Amino acid sequence: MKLRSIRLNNVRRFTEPVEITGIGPGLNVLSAPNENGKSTLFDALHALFFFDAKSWKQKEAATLAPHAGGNPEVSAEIEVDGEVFKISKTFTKTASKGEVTVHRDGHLFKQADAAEVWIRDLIKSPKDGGPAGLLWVRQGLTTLHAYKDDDTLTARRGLLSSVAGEIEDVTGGRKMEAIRAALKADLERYVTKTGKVSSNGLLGQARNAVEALSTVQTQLETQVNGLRTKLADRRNLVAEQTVLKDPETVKQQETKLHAANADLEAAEAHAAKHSAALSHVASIELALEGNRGRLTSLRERLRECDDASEEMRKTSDALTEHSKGLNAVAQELERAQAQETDTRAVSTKARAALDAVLATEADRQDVARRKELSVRLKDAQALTVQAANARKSVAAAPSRADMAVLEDAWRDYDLLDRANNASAAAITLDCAPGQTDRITLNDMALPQGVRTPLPQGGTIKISGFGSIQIHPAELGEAKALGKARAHFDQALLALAFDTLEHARKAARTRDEAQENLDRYEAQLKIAAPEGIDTLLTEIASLPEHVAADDVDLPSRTGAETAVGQAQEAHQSALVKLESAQARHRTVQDSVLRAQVTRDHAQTRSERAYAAIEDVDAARAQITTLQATGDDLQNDFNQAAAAVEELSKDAPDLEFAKASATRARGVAEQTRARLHEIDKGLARLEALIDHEAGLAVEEQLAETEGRLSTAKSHEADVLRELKVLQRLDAALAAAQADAHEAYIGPIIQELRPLLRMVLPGAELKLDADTVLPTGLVRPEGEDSYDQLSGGTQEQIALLVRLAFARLLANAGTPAPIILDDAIVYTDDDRIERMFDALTKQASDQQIIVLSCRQKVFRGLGGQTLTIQKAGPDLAS
Amino acid sequence: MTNFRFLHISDLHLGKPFGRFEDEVRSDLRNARQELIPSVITAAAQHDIEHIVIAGDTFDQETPSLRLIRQTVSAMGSASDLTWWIIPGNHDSLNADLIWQTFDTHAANNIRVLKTNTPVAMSEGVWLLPAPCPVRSPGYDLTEAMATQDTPDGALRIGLAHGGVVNFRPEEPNAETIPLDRAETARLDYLALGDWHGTLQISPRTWYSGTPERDRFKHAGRGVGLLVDVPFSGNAPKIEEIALGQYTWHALELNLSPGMDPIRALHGQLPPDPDGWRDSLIDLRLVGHQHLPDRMALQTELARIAPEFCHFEWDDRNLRTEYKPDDLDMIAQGGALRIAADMLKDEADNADLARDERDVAEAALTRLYSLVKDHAS
Repeated sequence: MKLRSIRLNNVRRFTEPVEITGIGPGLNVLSAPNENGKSTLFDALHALFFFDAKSWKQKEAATLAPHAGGNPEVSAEIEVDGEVFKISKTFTKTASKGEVTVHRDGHLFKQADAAEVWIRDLIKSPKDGGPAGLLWVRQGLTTLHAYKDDDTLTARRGLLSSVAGEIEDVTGGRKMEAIRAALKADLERYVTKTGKVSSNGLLGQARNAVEALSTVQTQLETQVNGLRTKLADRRNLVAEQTVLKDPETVKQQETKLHAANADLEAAEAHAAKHSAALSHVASIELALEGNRGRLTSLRERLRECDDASEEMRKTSDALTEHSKGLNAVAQELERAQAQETDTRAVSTKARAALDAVLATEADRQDVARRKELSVRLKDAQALTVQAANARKSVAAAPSRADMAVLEDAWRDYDLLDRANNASAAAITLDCAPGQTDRITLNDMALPQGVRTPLPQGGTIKISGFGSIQIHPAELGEAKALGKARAHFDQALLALAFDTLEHARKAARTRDEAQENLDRYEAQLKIAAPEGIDTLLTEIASLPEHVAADDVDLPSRTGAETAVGQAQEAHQSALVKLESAQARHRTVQDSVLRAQVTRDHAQTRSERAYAAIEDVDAARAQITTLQATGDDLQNDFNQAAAAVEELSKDAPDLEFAKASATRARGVAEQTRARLHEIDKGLARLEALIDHEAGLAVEEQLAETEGRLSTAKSHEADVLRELKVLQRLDAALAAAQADAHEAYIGPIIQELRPLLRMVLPGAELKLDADTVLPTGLVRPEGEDSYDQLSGGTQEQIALLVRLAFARLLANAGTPAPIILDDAIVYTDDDRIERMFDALTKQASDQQIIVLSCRQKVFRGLGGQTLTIQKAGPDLAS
Repeated sequence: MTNFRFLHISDLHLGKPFGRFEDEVRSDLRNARQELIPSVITAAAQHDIEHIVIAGDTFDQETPSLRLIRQTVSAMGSASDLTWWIIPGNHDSLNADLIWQTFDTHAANNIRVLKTNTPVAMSEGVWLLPAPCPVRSPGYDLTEAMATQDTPDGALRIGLAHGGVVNFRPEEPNAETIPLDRAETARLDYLALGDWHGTLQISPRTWYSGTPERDRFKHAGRGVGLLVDVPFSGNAPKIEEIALGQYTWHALELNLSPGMDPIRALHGQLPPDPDGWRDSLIDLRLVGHQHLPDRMALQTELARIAPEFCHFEWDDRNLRTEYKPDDLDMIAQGGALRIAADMLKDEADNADLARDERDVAEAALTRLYSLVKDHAS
């Protein structure tokens, strides 16, 4: 649909018919000041298209009436699918009298209710989900909610549905939500909201069941094994019991026991006889042994008496012999002692003489040393005085450094002076003979033929003639010369000399004094290397004269020879003495030992005779004892033969005992074992009876089956969970894709417009509400609410332009009518908005109403005006 | 008398717990086993049988409850006109003291537990050559002795043993295997075997009776006993199966293809008479391909009828869903639901993914279909 012209009569301020004609198919601009009727025009058009002619009671229609009264008349000429229609409505206070007509090509096409229906079909009202809510924009709207939210939502969805399909179809809509909700409910039977396996869920229960059955299975296996072990034990015990109670075995065992006992009794009886015979033998052997002991004792005591007597004799002889030897060595010792005493006295005397000679020699050396040191002391003292004088001279003279300063000052001055003289004016006198004296320079004779420079100028007087004043040139060098001279004079004065020569002479004197000082100090070091005080101390410690000069003293060599000889003689005497002493001690020891031996022999002899009392009686007793011994030996031989006879063919008592013990042990063990088996069997029977009643093996088999089923069930549940999760993921992914597909067309239409105004920007739309939610720009993303009013306004308008394009593409083009829709936009951005509008108007009718005449002049497009209308021919 | 008649049964496995089944089913199956002895007594009366030969594994475990043993002994003893010839099997070998001592103590004279392989006379001119299991795995052929055991000339020789005749694991030589020609080599008129839970004829004179109350889907069907008539003439025995079990086990495979009516196919496989369903256990394996709606319908039908059976389990892991565009349209023709459906279908069809991932995606798609149906309004 496109608007071609509009006509108003009796609408608010327009009490006379006005019209707007020439509305183009593209961009149209009605720019006029406020109160010019633009909003009236907008409202009138709105009423024409969206309100019944008989809807006076509706506030919007009633507000169209002028103050002066009258029935508002609105008509518009439109083009639909190449045909031209004119819609006319007259609103009256008596609503039922409202009129509506539709003409086609000048002929009445529809009227009354039929006309209203035709209009509603043509332009769905916002209430019916029509697009006008999107495309007709009142002043200052920055959102897409031109009408009630529900209405525009329907419009937006309707528009997108016409392009992308019904949102229900695209996103699955309520069916999808219901399926996902059911799926979610199913999933919650398995997992928590965070996707973890719920312990109370189906999978958790299945796992718990497997775990519980596994535990039961383990317990039952233990019980079954226990029962089987008990059964096996019982079987083994019964088998053993059977063997032990076997009559044949029992009989054999008893026979063996009887035989072993009989053997043991026989062996024990024989052993008793044997033991008695052995005791008899032992008693004889004991008597025989006693006899032998007494005989031996008597013989030994007699032999001891004889031996002690012989020893006594020998030791007495030896003592006598050793006593003689001791007297001889005692005399020899006395002689040696006397000789040693003599030689020692001689040696002591010779040593004393040598010491006296040596003491006299030492005194002489000290006196000589004192003399030498005294001479060096004198030299040192003289040198000390000379050195002090020289040091004074050196101190009084100018230092080398000061002299260097003075010499430098002189050299500077001398060099400048010579240069000055060389460059200064000079005169050379060449007088006629005899005239020489007539001429003086500065009152001094001027030498003949010599070049005399005059750096300071001067006065030449010529006797009889007058004088010639020569002025020096004012040269820089003269000043430097003066300065150098002053410096030199100052240096000279500092050293307190009147001339340089004097100073130099003093310097030379100082050098000589320094040289002398060095020499004196070197000599002093030789004379008194450790100082004069040390020298004085040493001299004081030395004697002035020899203490006692004994003229009777022998020579040193003689004294030393005498000492050597005396010591040698003494040493020889000492050796002899020690030898004599050793021999004396040896002989003395021998005597002592001989005495001890003799005493010991004497004691032994006394004891031996005391023990035997009577020697002859003892010899007779020996004879008697020998006869008794022979008798006892005969008895012993007979008894031993009897024992040997008993030992032959004797039964082995130990073996018999072992056999009997073993036979009794076996019998006892068998009894004990049978008792144990009875007890064990009784215990096992009780346990087996109890456990067999539980049918644990059956329970185990059942549990194994149930566990197998539980594991299978767990696998099934897990697979079911996987299926549900896979389906949920697929639905979520598909839903996300569908949302993208649904809002894709509007985003595609919007993108070029948006980038004309906001370069690089991308708008995010909510798929459900089809409303902007955010703006993504290179610098970042902002939510829609955070954007400025101007930007919101621009986006709202651009989205409408995009929707309008979608409408046009869908074959139902509709005009966009903007009533001061761009109010917050700044001048720069508005130019770009104009570009966007112009672009969109290439195939889209846009009517812009604005009071901003100056600004909107730059928009271009078809200019519209409200003008007086001619007669309404169509109606 | 021209022949000797007896009932050959084995593997009663009394006390088998059936742990993998739900409590209710487990209880039913256990009770059914307990009813075996009365069933045998009834059958014996109906078929004029005096001798019952049990070829091992009367009990499921070596240590069943004393109550069970005593009740079994009591039930057998109550049929005084019957003689029970019993050998221990591998489950209740001679090591099972608890069982056999209880028998020793409480069994009536008509119960003959054969604990050695000494031939015993069953009747005049009829000798039984037993081969009781001394332990669970004896490690040698227990029937070997039969070949050298003498019986009176002209007497019938009936072997009674428990064990396998085929070694199913050739890589592990099993010396316990009973030779297939044992009946011939031991000059047996009949060899009654136990251990195999299905009924199986090895030769005209050698049979496994199978368990009289089936206990697994591997040996599907209803448990029987073998009515054996051994002619004194030396001819081959006459064998007749006598139904003894209460429950019938069915191991079914339903091979579906797209377009096939799955419900019809299902009912084609099930026992036709719903009255017998409560005594039926079903293990249904679904294979092949189905369109999504058909699969959903099949699932609904399975869920509907399953409670009518004693036990009904099915495995649809090998049933693939084939999707037509229409199927996905039934979820949604466009929009997010369709995107999700397409996504899951692509994943289910993606051969590069692991089988498990593809299965999960396929199941998720089926679930989506189901949810969409639930929320169709």
